[in-house]
Amino acid sequence: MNLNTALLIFLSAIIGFLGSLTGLGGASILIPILVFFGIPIKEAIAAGMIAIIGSSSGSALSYVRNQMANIRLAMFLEIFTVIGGIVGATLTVMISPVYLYFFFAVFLATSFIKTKSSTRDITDVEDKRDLLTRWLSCEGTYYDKSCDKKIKYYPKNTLLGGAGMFIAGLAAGMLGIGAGAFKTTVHENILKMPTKVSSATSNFIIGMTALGGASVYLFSGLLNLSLMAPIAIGTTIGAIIGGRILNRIKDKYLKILFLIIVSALIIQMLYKGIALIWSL
Amino acid sequence: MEPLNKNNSKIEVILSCILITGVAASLLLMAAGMILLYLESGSFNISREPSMFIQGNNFFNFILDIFKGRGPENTALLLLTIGTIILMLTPFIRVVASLIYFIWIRDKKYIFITLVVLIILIITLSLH
Repeated sequence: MNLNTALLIFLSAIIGFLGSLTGLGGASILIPILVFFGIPIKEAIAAGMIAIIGSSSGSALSYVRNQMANIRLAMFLEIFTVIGGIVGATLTVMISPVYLYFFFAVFLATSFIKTKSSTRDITDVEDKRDLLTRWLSCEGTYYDKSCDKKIKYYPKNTLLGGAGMFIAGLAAGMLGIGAGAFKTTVHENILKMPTKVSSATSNFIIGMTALGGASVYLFSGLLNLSLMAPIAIGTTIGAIIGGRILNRIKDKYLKILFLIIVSALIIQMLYKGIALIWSL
Repeated sequence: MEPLNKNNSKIEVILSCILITGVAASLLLMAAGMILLYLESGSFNISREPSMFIQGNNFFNFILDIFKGRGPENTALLLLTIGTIILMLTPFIRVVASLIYFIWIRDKKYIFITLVVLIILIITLSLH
């Protein structure tokens, strides 16, 4: 089957929508699909990076308006993710595509790791924090609709969190994805942020990380206009719609379906990588 | 719902506006570019011709070149290119807006942190 603009917009919209509903990334699913249709992996990655700026800004809208994102902490963490994103994208431009197939397969496999949400041990005590965290004064409040309460929280371990975000940025820049699930895990488990604040803040950061990566891809001439435009339009529309109904749907079957797709994509990436090695 | 954190509520509204304007403008331009491209070529195919690829050694010079009319001559490609630039500028302007906000409320720590992010971005966008 030939990939055309209309089909690409349609696919991107569905993936963007499902991605923001299930939290299993949009671009990380889309890029292997582009590869399936014969797009060179580096071009697919570069296009994904641009599309992510759109979808993250698009879905950040509803989060920021609901004042869920911690803008101060996001700004601090962006120092780390942006550097990670730039380094990651530079690596992708330089290395052989063979590695990218395998890195992608490994990254997709992490979708199966069940992240334990540690929302219970959110600190509401100030003096449990380290020096840097206290200096950052990044505590926040958010309004929880489900229990109709304002909840105050104090993030912890900001330096370690920053290191985690560097790795997230590295993966994002390298593979042209948002690495949202990874970022959220760092926010919840290391920084001890509430789940809702985590995903909102992560979305906010993703756009900035993607800009760092995208600038490297622009420089290397990997940005294909006819590929980027339909993906950016599709995923952003999908993500905006998905972002509006986030937390209202928790469908187990949807997640299972997604994981089946992910398995197929892992096999495909491994196959392409091995086939490339054989042909050398 | 009343603002929970008065310090943050204004900046959140401003940043929302920047994000929505940037993304909407960019996607509209891209959509227009794609429609024009379809009208010109009569096909929906994804093209991998060299003219489809954009490349810029320095993002800011790249923008300047397009303003000076040294961008793609084809209108469809020009629209797609400008759409891409606006999309890339959206998070950048968000940082600049955050910086102005932190200067406005005289939050020295976050003026510093935001400056670090901004400098990193400017270096990568211009120093290739």
